[in-house]
Amino acid sequence: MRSPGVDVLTRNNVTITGTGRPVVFAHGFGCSQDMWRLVAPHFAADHQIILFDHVGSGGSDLSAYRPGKYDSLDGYADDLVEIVERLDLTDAVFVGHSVGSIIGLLAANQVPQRFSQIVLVNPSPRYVDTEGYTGGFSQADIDALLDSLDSNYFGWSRTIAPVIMGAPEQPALSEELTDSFCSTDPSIARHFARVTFLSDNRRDLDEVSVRTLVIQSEDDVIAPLPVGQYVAEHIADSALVVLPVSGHCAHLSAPDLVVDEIRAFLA
Amino acid sequence: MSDSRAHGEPQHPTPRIARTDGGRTDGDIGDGDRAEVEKSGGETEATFARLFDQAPFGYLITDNDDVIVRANTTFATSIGTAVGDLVGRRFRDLLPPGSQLLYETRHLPVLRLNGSVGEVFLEVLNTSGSTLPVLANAATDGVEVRIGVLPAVERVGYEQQLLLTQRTAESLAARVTVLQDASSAFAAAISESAIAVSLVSILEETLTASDACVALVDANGHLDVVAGTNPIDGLIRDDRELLGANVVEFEKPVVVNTADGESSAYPWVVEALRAARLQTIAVFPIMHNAKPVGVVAAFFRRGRVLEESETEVVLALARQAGQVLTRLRVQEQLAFAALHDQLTGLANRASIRHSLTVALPAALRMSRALSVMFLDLDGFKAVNDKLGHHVGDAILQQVAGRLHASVRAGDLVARYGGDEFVVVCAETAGEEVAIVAARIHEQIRAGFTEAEGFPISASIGIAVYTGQTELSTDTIIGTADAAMYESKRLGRDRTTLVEL
Repeated sequence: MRSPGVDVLTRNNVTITGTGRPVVFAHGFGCSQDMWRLVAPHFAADHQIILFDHVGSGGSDLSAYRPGKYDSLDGYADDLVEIVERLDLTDAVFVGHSVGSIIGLLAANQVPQRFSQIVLVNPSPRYVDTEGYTGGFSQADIDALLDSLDSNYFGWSRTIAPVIMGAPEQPALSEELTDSFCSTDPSIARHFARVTFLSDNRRDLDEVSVRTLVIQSEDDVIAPLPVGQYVAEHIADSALVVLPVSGHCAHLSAPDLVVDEIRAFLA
Repeated sequence: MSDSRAHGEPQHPTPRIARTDGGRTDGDIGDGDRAEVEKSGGETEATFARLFDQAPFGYLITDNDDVIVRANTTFATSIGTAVGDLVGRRFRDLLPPGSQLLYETRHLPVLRLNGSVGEVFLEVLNTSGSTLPVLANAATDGVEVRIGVLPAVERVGYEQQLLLTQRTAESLAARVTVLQDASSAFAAAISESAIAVSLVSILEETLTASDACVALVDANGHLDVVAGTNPIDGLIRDDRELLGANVVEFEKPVVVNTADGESSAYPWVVEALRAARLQTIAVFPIMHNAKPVGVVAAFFRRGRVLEESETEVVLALARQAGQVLTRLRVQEQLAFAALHDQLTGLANRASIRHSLTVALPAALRMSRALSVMFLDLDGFKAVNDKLGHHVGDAILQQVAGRLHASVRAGDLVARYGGDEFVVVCAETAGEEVAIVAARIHEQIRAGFTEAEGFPISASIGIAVYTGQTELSTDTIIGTADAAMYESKRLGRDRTTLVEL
């Protein structure tokens, strides 16, 4: 599927520091590998730290974005598998946040022999409520999110406005976008949001064979406690840790606690 | 200028300035002044409190856990509540779910990593049940978070109008572009499979599908995948129960989701999708002139609900493709007609002459023999005259079949005109071709049920080219024709062979 000559390490803006047992960190929706800034450095002394951006986010190669491929989390997981194989990692630890955690377990289901431990931070296999399952959101909520994404990117939309009225196209916006923090291309962000919040990967939990730690915030409206419990219940060899923190980004609001839990799990 | 110097400057009391600066210089002033300073400081405090509370925008302070520790009245009033009811609650709990998603996945991460975040569009719940669109700025020092909230009802209303217009324009433009691109891709296509390949790539792009394929109804009425990938077994097999066949039969699009599970009308498709790690398949009929000519299928790796506009575009695409496919089939028929005899389906005069202009130089180059047999029916004119043309036509059709059956697979048989036929046998000379001729005599002599009592036979002339010197098509056909007349002259129903 991958076009020849494309280096996956460039494509996914892979950065590697330290030496030792490899730990791969995957970010979630809305930002980039920067999300791990408060956690990853704590492992650099005795681990090889591998950080990357999903295609379409952060410093990834935006030209590699193909909507058909990235219309499901499998497309992102395929990229992760390519990174892991390109670096020929074995006995690797995967640490993912939110949708990044689901992408990681899909990759681990493809190449389980490469991973020996998985850490899922604030994971949710499905956000939308359905019969017999509470994800926390309705389809209308997701639509509202997509609308507010549009409104937030209106600044950029405005520069595109002349195009609608028939004026010649504006210079490429991508440079301007990559300059700002946690920046992302608006149309890709919209598609990624759609894929993130409308995917259903509950069935994939049953196939996880790698030892897994689920780190759950005590109070997380995006991935509430019952969702974390659901994830832990459906992964055969797993443990659930509930941190006394609030919010969906435990690795940002309580990085030390997250570091401690990962360390304990790896020990 | 001179006025202000005369009255203003000398009267400016310096101590008063010191006091209003915040009363930090107590050491320099007496007790009486201290009371004044405190009063003034209290006033300042009150001023700031008022500035905070009555600011023309919402202002909140939260702790690191997003819990509101202070909020101003402007904000509380804007969402129909009191300040006292806000303190102790989490700011994100004031947001509807859609905004919570954005707040947690984008606003807070950027704030924590960057120290500030600006102009985030959020909606805040009003106690009346409605939502208030706001623009939020936030900054943090690591201990507390200060949030400024500016209601943006009008701006948002205006922007949403624009956004709506933009989306409509974009989707219309996208639709027009898709159909135009398709139209030029189809126009350039010279074969069915080229059209199918274009349709597959256009569809993958338009629907952001992970795979797509096109299957066309073949001569036997079966669906045959001609382009793209068909990752599932449940789509097409020689089975009327299968999805593709049903789409053709009912001429309506069908979407199957794995989430439908057992309740799906196509449980075997659900299974096949799961096995292929797919979650949705959408199959559309390719129609032309109200008749299905095939199907186009799109595959998705996550559960998808197709919007009506998407379905419309695909159906329009499929209709375009159907038209072009039909045009191509007509062209193929015309091309066939130009080279074939309509009555017998054999090659026609133009076609066999063209074949000879290619075969003769080839035979010369390779020094290989080639025989041309010219055949004219004996007794056919009487059948035509006495029994009518329809009987004559039926006999010509049967002669064509018998000729075909008498020659080898690689030999060419043509109807040259009227009751004349030409057979070209490559790499054949002398005795071999005489054997073929004998077989033909026997076949024709066997008689025709439609023309009982009318003896029909064949007079044959054969020109054998040995491949030694250059020879024209006219010469070899003329020689065979002359040899055929020699057979007629010698009493018909026989073969005359001439070597060249």
